[in-house]
Amino acid sequence: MKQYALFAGCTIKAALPHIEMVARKVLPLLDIELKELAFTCCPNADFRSTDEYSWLVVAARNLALAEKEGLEILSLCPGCTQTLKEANMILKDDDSLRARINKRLEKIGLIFKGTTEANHHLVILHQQIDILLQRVTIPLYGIKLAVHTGCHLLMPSRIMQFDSPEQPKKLGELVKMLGGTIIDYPEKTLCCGFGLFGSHKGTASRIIRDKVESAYLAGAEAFVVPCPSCFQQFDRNQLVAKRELKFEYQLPVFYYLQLVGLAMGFDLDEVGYYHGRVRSPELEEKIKSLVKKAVVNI
Amino acid sequence: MIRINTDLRRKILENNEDIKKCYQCSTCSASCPVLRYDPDFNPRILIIKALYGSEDTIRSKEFWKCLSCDRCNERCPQGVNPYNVLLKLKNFLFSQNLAPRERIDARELIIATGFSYPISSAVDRKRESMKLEPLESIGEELKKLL
Repeated sequence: MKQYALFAGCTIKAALPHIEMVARKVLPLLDIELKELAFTCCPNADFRSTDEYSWLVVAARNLALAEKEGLEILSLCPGCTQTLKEANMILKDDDSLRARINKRLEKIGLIFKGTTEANHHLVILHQQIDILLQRVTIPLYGIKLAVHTGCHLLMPSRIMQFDSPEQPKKLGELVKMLGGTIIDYPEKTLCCGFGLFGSHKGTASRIIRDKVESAYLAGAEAFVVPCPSCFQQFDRNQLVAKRELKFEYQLPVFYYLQLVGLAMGFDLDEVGYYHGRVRSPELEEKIKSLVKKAVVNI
Repeated sequence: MIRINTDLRRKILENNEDIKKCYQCSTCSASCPVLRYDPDFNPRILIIKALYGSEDTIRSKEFWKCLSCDRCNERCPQGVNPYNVLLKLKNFLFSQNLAPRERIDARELIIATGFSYPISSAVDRKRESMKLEPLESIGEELKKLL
């Protein structure tokens, strides 16, 4: 059992708490112990767009909190992961900048030394795939999933160092470990468009329509994502886009750890599926019948 | 016609020398998910206008449409890092009080509470129904820090 500082991030904590719930349920069963620290917003790219220096100060505080506890950070959000990894790299590399930032951190009794790492849970789970495999009791045989890794876990690749930005494979591998079937689709690497939903809804809606159409026509039954922003875009915003652009099809979305939960024997309710807004009764029946088949096999 | 502001050009190039290496190949534009849907946002043109120090472009709202996906940084053959150039321009606009109101509000919310989403009793009730702890403001500590 290894202990990590859990970095759930604002979106999950405030808007999608069922994802935090499923993470706290599932990760300890994969030998990952989670500790809560007083983290703030990572902070996000919008904050960075106003003032990069204060972005770095707030990120340094989050990293320093984990350092003080002697813990590595496990993040549930690719955006937070990218901020924390990039800030960590900038501060480790630049002695004079680090000294200036540490003067600020001194005011609240913290210091950044550069002794911790921040990673998304996909990175950590991919490194201990044998443990994941051992815990699968209800394989997701026959469930056809369109994988969307999103942008921030992949790029900039020199910082993220997780997977190929042009041909990402690792989330697909992790889905296959659960028994799921991967459906390749032409718009796999297109950004979900979430960032424009607030300010330019028309653009964001057309992006999500094209993603859904591409995966639907390829035969997928649902999306799987590792990101709370993508989750919101594929869930709530997909329905808004559907109303505005009047398309027929729709696909529900799973956060990766919800699928892990299902494969470990939790039911749809226990993994928070019903907190999602896009539903597929056919898929729900298919998932319920997996459990029945597994029971018959015993 | 583009009016060139040499002072602005100097400011943009400060600590940002890589932007001069741009040879206008359009790899960033071909990679940009926003441009695919919205022809008014064209990273290649934004970069050349930034190099000119074109004030009109820099004051236009186009800058803020970037999705921050990083694909242009990833593919740029010259290491210009268009996304980072846009970030620096946005930082400059913020320092001149020219950032959009919603960005300033979003920043202030984070500094006030520590969270990018408003914390409320409704959020806490939802969290409580899932046996999760309520969210507590960390704004006081952030104010000391910033």
